[in-house]
Amino acid sequence: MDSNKKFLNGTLNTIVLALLRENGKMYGYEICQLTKEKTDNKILLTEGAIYPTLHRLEKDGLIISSKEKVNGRTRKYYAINQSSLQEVESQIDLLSQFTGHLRSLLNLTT
Amino acid sequence: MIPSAAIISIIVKALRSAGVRDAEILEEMVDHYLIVIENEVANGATEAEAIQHTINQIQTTNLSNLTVNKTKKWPFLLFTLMFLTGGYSYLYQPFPAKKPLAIAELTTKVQSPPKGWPIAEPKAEISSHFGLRKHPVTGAKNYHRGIDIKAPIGTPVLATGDATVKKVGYNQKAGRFIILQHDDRYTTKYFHLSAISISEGDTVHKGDTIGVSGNSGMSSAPHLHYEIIDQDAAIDPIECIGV
Ligand SMILES: [Zn+2]
Repeated sequence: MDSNKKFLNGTLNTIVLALLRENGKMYGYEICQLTKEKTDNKILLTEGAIYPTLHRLEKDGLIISSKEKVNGRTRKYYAINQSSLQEVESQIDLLSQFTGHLRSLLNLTT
Repeated sequence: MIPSAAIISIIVKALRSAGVRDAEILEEMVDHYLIVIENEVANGATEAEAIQHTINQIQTTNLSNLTVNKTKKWPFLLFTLMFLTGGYSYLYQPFPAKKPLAIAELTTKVQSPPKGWPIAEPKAEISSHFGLRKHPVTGAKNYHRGIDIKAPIGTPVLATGDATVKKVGYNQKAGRFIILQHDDRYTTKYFHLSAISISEGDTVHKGDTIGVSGNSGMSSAPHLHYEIIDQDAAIDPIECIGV
């Protein structure tokens, strides 16, 4: 998992944005679970990675948080800040273009 | 059934040890780890196993990016306000709670231990330190749960922080003693007094005189025995004084 961790470093922000854009409102644990499911247990986000990322994205105004009572306790949800949607879209586009370039560099024969 | 307040307190303690201080992040992380525990229990683990596993996870995960203290003043005020107006309760339903644990209590848990010096003699000598030692009376090796401060009988003994008086009493070992409750986390104990000037339930403030030192109980010379208890564990008062 360590090599995944290394690759994730620069891209986790954008991955989180993409997950939120696709799924609407989510909380930290849910994002970890979804990532795990989508990658067939290959990418496991730790709390030490996901929460600081969420907090930074919120600070940067790309996502917004809200709190809800669930089972009587407070749960913090995150969603794309609709007024930053354009910026979010362009970040996701850039990463997706970049992974396309990577693919063509790594599979030189195709 | 382990009370939810106890589970939350275990999680908070582990997170604090990992350096997480921010009240809002603590609240979010507590929710995260409670889900982890709930899921493990749903998958057949016992509560104790799930808690142990979660604590291990907290200890082995790198949480350093969560430890930056980015607290602004106003969220704390907001929490306190919400708590006072009853806007917040922190029930954890799957494990029946003894009482709702509010975010304000979580905030309390990140408070520091009482910092005051317990006797009206700032330069008094410490005759016995915290930790393993030979007992001055019995000669047996034991763990000293506090510090002994040399003081002539009659020296005023001072509350080391704001508190309510949890217990005053007398027993053969401690002699005349006082226990102060500072919040739901820290208590302080004052032993071998010759007189006590407060009663159970009183509110005291840091620096208030609560009694005078003496030589009562199992004591070989006039001194004050002073302890700070963090939940159940005695901690070294020297590490706390003036910090
Ligand atoms: Zn002692």
